[in-house]
Amino acid sequence: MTEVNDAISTGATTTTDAAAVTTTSTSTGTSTTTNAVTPSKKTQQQQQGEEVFSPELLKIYYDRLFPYSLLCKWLSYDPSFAFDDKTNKTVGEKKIFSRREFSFTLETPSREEIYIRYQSFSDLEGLKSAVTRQKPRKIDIGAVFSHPPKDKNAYVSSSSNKNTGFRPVQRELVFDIDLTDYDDVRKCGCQNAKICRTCWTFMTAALKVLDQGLREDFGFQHIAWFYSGRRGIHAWVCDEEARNLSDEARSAVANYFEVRPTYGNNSSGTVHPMLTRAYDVLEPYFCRYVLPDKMIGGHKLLADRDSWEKHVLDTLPTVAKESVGKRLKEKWSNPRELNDPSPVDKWNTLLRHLRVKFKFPQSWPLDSETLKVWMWPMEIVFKYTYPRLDINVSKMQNHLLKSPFCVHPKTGRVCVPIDPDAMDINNDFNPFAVPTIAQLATELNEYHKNNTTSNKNDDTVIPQHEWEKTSLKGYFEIFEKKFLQPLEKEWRREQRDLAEQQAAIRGDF
Amino acid sequence: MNVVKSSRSSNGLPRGGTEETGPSSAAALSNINLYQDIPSMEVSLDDFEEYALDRLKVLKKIEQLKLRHIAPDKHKKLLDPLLSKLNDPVKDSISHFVLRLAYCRTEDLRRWFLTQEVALIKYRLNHSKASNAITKALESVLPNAHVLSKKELESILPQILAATPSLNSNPLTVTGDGNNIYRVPFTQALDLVQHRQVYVKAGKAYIPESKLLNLVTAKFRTNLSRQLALLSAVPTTSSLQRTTGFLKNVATVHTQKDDFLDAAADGLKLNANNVQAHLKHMPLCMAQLQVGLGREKHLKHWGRLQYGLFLKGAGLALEDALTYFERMFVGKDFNKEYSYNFRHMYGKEGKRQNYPPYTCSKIINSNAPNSNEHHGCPYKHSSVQDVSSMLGKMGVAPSQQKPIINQIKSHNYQLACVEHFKAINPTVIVSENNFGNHPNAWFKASVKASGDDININTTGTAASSSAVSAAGGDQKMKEPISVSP
Ligand SMILES: [Zn+2]
Repeated sequence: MTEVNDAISTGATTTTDAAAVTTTSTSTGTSTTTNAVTPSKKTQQQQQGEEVFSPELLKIYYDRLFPYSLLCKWLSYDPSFAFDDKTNKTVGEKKIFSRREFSFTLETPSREEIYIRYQSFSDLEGLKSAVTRQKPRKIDIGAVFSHPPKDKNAYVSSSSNKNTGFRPVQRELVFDIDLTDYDDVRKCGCQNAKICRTCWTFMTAALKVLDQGLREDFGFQHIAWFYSGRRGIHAWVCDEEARNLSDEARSAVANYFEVRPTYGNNSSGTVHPMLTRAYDVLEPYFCRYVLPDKMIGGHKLLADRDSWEKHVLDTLPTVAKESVGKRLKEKWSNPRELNDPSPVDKWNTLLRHLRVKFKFPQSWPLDSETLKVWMWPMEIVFKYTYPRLDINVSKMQNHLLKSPFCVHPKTGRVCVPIDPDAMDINNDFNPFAVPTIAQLATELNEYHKNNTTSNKNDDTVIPQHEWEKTSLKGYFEIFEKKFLQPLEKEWRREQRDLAEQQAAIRGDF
Repeated sequence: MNVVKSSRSSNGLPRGGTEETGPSSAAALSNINLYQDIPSMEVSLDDFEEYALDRLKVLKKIEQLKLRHIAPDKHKKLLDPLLSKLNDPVKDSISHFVLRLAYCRTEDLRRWFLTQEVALIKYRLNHSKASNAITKALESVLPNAHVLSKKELESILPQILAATPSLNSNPLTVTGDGNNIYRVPFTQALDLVQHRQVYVKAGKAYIPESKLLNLVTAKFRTNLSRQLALLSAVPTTSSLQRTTGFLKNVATVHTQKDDFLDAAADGLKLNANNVQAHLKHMPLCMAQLQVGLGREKHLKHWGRLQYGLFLKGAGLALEDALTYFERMFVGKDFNKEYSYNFRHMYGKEGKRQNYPPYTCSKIINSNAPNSNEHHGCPYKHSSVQDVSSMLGKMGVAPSQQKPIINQIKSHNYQLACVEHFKAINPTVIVSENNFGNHPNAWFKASVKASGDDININTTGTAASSSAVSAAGGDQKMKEPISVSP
């Protein structure tokens, strides 16, 4: 029993975590609708005594607030997609959408979780009616298959499964970054699922590096970022080239961004431009959020003597530890200087000392000790701030990832879009400001109370969607403007190109 | 040459087939064919077979060079005489496509063929006398690869230098060929990209000329792998039917008659291709290892020792042991994980001691096998039911098993084994043999008693040609067969 209680109190149960679920059933080879039943764990978390998640709240969210049209328009990848609110009908092609795998995590009355894979819907109405009827605790999104996944059995017959063709054909390139992977460098006191504003900056830094790398190095343009609802972030790269990547290519991209702790021993003295650029992005985060004291939102790396000796100066390569390291230990422990230089000043002093003492080697073969000293700043900055990817999520087309816009059952928070451009070193995405479904239900009520017939104003624009009446509005509008609209523009351009191409061919005759 | 008609050729193949184009060495081919296009021409059945067998000799040799750890500087001497038979581009192309047909049928065959063909391409590109062979090959497999102009290079030189550890000189200051930078879609250079060995920008990877070979072979491998998989799904067409017997045989030649290419087989008794066929001559302890090996594609440590040394004692040479176990250990990195192990058994590594095969008493008294292990003496280490069922599979009917079971129950394991021998060889006089003490003696006596001439396979050439003629039929079919897979 204690074990179960422990799991709950630390928040370590992962039954609702995308990565955990998908590792158990990712292959198409398993039979459809495998019901993986996990023992019930009480997941309704009471936060300050207030209920943040319940079937009733979830019903309100799915019935009135879930942005079906945003999700379906995006996943249609179709310029002619439209949803007519008056007739309540989808207009346009449904080809890609109808071959997309959705999977639901349901909870039975006896509190067991049931996991249903290989569902697909021919259009928005189909998805909406299934979701509102079944009220899944969690929705996962998989690949686009060669045939609608719900008809999978017709294509995978046991006798002649060869080349009958049910297989994943495209899938966004996805990334999953989770704060639990940073536990060894979270000096703020958080562990496991617990997060705070200080350690959340690791997510922001990771997002910045990865977003920039995907855009500049791989040329991807349509990248959607989402808060996972609890302690991490997800990226969905939606460019057509990205969706069509083979599993090998996905692995290669993920590996390209992966940095192992001992990358430092290179003998060539060169550093890949991707790493140099990442350093330029990360060093400010390191200075602002890792070096300073907890009181001002840092991990106090250079804010107390124990830490700067153990975690910084003692990690210098031997030649530097014995010279620069030793000197600075003495200098910084001098009582007269104790409160003097700020952590950032200390960092800059350290870097200056290293540069003066160790000139970059000018002749071959490069002195390996000196090279280590030159690599050290990057090594320590990366140790704390470089993105730690769960690369297994990225490596396979046929890997499920939690659907954007659903609700995290442990926190009740919506998986809202994150706008990378709105973030800089001083403006962080605040996960604690993301509305819970309880809060959203209240907001809806408030809105309708304040907008009764009595104070109806002629100027008031009547919102098209219920979510526009809540704090979801800001998040969803940014998503429409920064992600969906550019994507649609691309669709139309492609269509125009295609039309022109066809016209040209006809003209030939 | 007996090409009847040549309707189309590609990749610079000569149009007519009858002219003898003969560069002195295979490596001198100026255009190395990457087999992008299927030849469409008519070939007589004789040539069809001859070409395929000539190519097979090359591929077999390539495999051997690797298995025997022959130093690369010796490859040329050993390989070029065989390779020179493929100098004719038409023959080169046809033989490649014929073997594609022969080797597409199973996963194992496809893997074997792919491995050797990739090694062959690498060898040819590396040894080509034409300095631009690799770049030409690149153009053939990756027509969109772009060579950076001096101006383009200037603008991104610092990034290229920083990103490419393999560049040891500035490509701008070094003049001459071989220092170009190529721009290709990053998906064509996954290996270099994932290890951050090259500069990547806007979806393109910037490849130094020295790394082009990797690209070409990687692309060749994916293309060929895909083609083989597609081909395996195509039902045999009627136009091919006459040749399928031959094709089947060509492919089995490599799995069943390893050394038929080396006519100078040196009196070996067992070889990589007839181990399985000798199962019926093995005592139960070895038979269960062979069966376990076939089923699990692997043997654990003690099993490898017991069975490996037994096969050594039965006359299986090291090279054949390496070939055989590598083939059986499907999905394992045999060379990395196990080849040392076998070389050690043969006294080629470590203490260089020539370990003798295990005797019965050593096997009986060694540690008992765990589940998934197959070593030991079944009469001692397995249940009576299991022994009985194994004996049944070895052709000992339950009615004949009684004397064997009785000996087991009296804990006379070696006598049980002797009873097994007597059950299948009732005429042999026990006292003349030592087979109750040593599995190899048991094996030898069984082979002798059966009259099976093990040496039949070592006269390789004869055996292989008979296999081929059986396939093609005795009548010499002179009429042309259209080869269009
Ligand atoms: Zn924290």
